[in-house]
Amino acid sequence: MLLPKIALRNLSRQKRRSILLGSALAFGMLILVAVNGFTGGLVSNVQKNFADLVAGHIFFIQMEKGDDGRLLTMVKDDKAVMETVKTLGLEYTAVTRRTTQMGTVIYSGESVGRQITGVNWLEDNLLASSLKFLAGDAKNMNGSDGIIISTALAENLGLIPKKTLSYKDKAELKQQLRIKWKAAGQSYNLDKTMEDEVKRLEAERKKLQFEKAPQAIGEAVLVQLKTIYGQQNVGDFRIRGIYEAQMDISAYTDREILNALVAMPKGSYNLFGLFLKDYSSLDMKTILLHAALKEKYDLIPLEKIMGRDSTTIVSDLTKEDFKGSKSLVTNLNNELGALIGILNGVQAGSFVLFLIILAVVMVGLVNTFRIVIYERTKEIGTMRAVGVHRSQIRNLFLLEALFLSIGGTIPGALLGVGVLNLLKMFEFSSFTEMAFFLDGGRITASVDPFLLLGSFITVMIFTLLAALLPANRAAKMEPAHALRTQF
Amino acid sequence: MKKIIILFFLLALGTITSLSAQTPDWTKILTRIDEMADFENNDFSAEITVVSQKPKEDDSTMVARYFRRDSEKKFTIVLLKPEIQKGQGYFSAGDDLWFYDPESRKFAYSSLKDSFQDSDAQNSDFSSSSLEEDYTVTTSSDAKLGSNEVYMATLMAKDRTVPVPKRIMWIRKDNFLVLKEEHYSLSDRLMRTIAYPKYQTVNGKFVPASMLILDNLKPGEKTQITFAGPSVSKLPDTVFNKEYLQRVNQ
Repeated sequence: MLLPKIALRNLSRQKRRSILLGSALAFGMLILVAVNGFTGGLVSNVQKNFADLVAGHIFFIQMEKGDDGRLLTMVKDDKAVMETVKTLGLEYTAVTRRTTQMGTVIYSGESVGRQITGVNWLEDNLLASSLKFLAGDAKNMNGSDGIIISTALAENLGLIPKKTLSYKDKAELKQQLRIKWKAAGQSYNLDKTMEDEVKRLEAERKKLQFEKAPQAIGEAVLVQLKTIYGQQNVGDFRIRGIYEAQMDISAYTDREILNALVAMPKGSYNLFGLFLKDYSSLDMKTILLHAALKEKYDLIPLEKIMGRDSTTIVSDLTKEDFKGSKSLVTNLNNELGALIGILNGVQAGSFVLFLIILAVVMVGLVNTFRIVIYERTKEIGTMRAVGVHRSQIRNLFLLEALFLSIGGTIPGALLGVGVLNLLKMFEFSSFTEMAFFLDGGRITASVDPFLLLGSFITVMIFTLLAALLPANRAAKMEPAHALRTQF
Repeated sequence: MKKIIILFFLLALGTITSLSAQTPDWTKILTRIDEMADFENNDFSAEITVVSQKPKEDDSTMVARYFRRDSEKKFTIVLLKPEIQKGQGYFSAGDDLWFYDPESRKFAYSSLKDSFQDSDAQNSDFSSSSLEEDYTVTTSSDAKLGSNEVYMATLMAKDRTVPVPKRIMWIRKDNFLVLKEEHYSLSDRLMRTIAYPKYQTVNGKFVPASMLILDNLKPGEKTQITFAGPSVSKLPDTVFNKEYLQRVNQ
């Protein structure tokens, strides 16, 4: 127990030097944790938000060519997929079997393009429970002509007042404020006044929207779309619910009603999605499923799938001449394409930056320990003279290096976590273009524990290695020679 | 009794004969309508002006140069106005259609069934007519549209790939020109009404001088298309390919 005490005392003897070295390590760790946590949070939020939107982590799509060469997307049989998922032990939380088709929602002359998603409300409980309703609900949707739309769609159709001020509204407001203040001949802070006024008006609008939303329930809307064969069709629906969403792409209806409108057989669907319990290593799980299903379906080869979204794959298939049915097993990462690659690249980049910082610190550490040994030559001689073993001298310096690394990395990691928590405090709901990366309007962090542990171990190993040579030199000193040395 | 039977038989025969004389031969009429608008071995070009009116919005006007070669089922449209869209264009061959944006210098695959430049017109409105191939007349009756004696015919799509499943057409009896048509969805909802108030003849073929399209799903939305300076002069082959749209922007 004496050695650690002496090591700690030695570090505190040269406070400024120890703090500088520790700070360098802390800075490296701070960068690593902050960047890794930030990008990890973005990846996780993107995956979560996108999975909610497209209804799954792993997808299965079947396609066949119609008589006129048109590609028809329709899942006819997913029995083998389910059996294989079970055999592979892939745990899932939900299975979605939905029909999706692009359409135009029309209300009182206003029209907005949206993906129309047909849901089997009896089987697909996940959706109804995940929607946060501003008005109405998803009760009794099965078999009804009800349609559930987002607040954004309701706003664009003029069913409810808009919650936020548009750029045009803001520009006009700014102009009005400028004229008002100028007329009063008073000095003013336009930006501050503008900010307060926008906040006040948006709060009023939010309240108004909340009051008006129930009145929109029951309103009749038209949905114009094409059948899977390309024929034009129009369906009559009634607003059953308005859900709040940071971003939306879909309006939800009953699957059978939508199937009838798009000329799909009763009970069929064109999107099969699997929500995995654990969606880490998603690509590996997809590859496993693909390999296991190879014998059961005519699958599109893996090299044509990985890194490409299903729209591109389907578009390529349109040009191919084939008979019968082709199946596609793909996943969320492929759908997100380059985005996930960029975020993973940023994560890898932060680790490289951390290693560079670490290498610079290591050079500093080696030099510092060499100086320390020169400075303490007499002290080492004394210790050796009173019976301290060579190994104890070496261990003393190694312990100093170890404490330095612990003293640097832990505060660095804590600072990183602090920065991430600070980011979490800000709400970015008004930045709709960021919605894809946010969770409930906030930036969330997700630090990979393995990466964190790996970084701790890396710092420790590097620090110990940096101190090892000078420590060995100190251990090899002859006591008499060391005591005679003069600086 | 024998006389009564013969009389009844003759009466029935007369009725059938007179009925069959009144029932128009719709295959022939639809073929005739297609032929009247088909330039066969000639090319066709014109300047088109599309004026769109939408409630709560200012009217938008778009001018484009339109080239058509029916013998190869191709057409090309190059936008001239508004300035911001100048150089954008469409090229269609058969059932394929591409939209070219000079800003991004990229082609986007589109469909003949999509709307033309966010108006009530559809890309297919600029392709050649194929009524006989796509439709069967299920019912028809005599009617009057303005001062014109017309047939009012209901056309049902022959198969489920024809974009408009049902059309009701008002066709002049004397020359088979279509004066008005209504487009219905598969669920039998009226989607569009198109009026052809005036035709112009080019090399013995009929081309509408203008078309008025009403969007029946969005009250108040309408689009007027006028065709000016029609010509059947031979056009260079280079006009009818995708690269032409790139070249005109260089």
